[in-house]
Amino acid sequence: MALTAAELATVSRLLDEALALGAVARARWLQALPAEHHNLVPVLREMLSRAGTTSGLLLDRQPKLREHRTSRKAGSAQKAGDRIGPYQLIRQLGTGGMAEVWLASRADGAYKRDIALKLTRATRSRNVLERLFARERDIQASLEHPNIARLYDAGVSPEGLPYLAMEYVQGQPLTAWCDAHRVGLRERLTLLLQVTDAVQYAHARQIVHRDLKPSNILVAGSGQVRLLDFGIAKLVESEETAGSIVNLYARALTPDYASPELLRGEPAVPASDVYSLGVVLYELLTGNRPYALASGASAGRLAQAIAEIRVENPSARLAPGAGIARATTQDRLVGRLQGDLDALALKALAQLPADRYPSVAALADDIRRYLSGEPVHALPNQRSAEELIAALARNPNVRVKRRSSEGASANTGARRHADPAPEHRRASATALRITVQLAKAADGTHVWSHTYDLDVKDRVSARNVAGSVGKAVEEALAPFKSHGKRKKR
Amino acid sequence: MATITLLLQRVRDGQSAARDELFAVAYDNLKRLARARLRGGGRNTELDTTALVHEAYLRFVGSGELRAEDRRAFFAYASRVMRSVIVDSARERLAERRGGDAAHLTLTTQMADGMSADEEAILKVHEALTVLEAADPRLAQVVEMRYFGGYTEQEIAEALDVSDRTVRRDWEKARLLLEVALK
Repeated sequence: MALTAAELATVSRLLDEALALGAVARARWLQALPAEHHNLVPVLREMLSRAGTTSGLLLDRQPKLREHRTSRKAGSAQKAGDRIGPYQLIRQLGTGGMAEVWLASRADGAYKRDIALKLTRATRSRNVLERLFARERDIQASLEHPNIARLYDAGVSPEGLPYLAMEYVQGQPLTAWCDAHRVGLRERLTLLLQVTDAVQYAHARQIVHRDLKPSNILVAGSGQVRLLDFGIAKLVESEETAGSIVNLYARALTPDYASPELLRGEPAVPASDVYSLGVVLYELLTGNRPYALASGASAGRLAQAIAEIRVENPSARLAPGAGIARATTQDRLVGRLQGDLDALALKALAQLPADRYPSVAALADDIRRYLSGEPVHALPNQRSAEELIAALARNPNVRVKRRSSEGASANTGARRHADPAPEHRRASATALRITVQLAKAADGTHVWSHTYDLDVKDRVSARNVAGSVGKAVEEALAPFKSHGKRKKR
Repeated sequence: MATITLLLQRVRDGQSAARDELFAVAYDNLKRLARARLRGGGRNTELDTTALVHEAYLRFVGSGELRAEDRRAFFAYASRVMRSVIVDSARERLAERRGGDAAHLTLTTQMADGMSADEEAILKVHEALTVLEAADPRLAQVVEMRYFGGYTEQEIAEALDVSDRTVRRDWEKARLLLEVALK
């Protein structure tokens, strides 16, 4: 509990009294506290139980000053003017544990353009690196898309330093750009479609990005999106560390955007990019990431954390000020996220790849459906309801009408409900409850009703239910047949 | 560097404007000194704040030049300045890691060293201390000097002109207050 300064002053004064007493006397003292201090008793009790121990959580570790990352020149062996292979360094753009990025130009004047030169630590033998980089260069050279920053070259300098020469993109990370420009929801989604276009293009060429996150998705001043670092995450991975959760940190992949399978060290698949895009989408919608994995956690705890990831609806996790940053109010934003966008984000973020959108194209398609006001596939209720209605309509004794029709005496109400089941069904807009009510059209008398619970991911079961509802309705209608009762929706 | 000596005297004489100036000058000096030390030390250098404050004293004030009370004031002051330097750099590092200007550092986010936890802890203590300052200024000062300044109990006792025992008691109490009441 956080105390106010006034309460804290009181606690401080009371502690003086208590600390002067022995252990037994302290317990009595606590009990004898006047009523006005009763709200402070739990706090005081905990403090007294800790008195004399040395288990300071916060204060035991004295802060030390460390070198600031952007000023970490000491760690770099390079300086402006140095040559790395055919490139000459101009100035450092940034550094970090695994790589540093320099603005550079061709030293031999082969072309004039400035490039971003990423220097990574040599993690494998020179031969392996050269082979790997050469292959990657060839694959990447095939990526020509207006939303993908080009990889011009990849190689190993005569000094044995691996480098990647990339298009130098000046821009702001997607989320930061959107917030800075107070970009509304629709425009954010439209920007994301530029990203999905690019990723889709690369997937068609069997290239998975593996490290999609806002800082890899830059927006230039013109509003054009550029993806950086396509497929190069694996180049900075070392052989010993690849594939092991223990070495996730060594790989320095950001865990916040990585899919569960990638965090477990499994190979990246296109669905891994779907997941990362889901995290980006979530952040674009809410200003928050769907969850935070503790940095510095042990491998075991991380593995557990991954298995326990539960993603809440975006509408329930808005960051403070998210509304303003999206040119609307907080309340309105909640309303706009509920339903379609909640379902869309959760589908992209399903724990199992098979439960996600089958492709980035499918994700993009659903975003487009949302933007054009069509029912999204992520929210399958409507579709199942349609199927059910279609099945019922085949019954000659039943005429299904829209609920809005006058005198509707029966309806199929499909509604989503929270899914309590654990494991892979966490991101679930897939549980469907259908209540069918049948009443006499003439006077509204209740004839029959039944509730069906089903998992609508399973199209077969949806059809079965439609079939059995149809049959049940028919049976229920049998006594009235001669009167030609109508079933309406 | 005479400036700090001079400013300390002005503060003692009750010139309140000198206080801000002293802070600014000391902040600047400490930060520069810290940078210089870090740069010399290679990749994973960590700086002990105590050593830094002592070195700052020697460099910027000079030994023997100060009256005892000014010297005391300097150390009390230096821990406040140190707190600012540490808190500011923790904030910068956190902001950077949250994507600030790290556009090109996409594969380099460091997590292995648990630095992030450190920075959050630092900011937490800083914020808690701000509340404690309003409730019990002396307790807060003891924490500031010990946690941010890295002083020993004796040094704190000397700077605050109280007994070692008082400092020990204050520290224990402050620790309990901060860790329980403000968590």
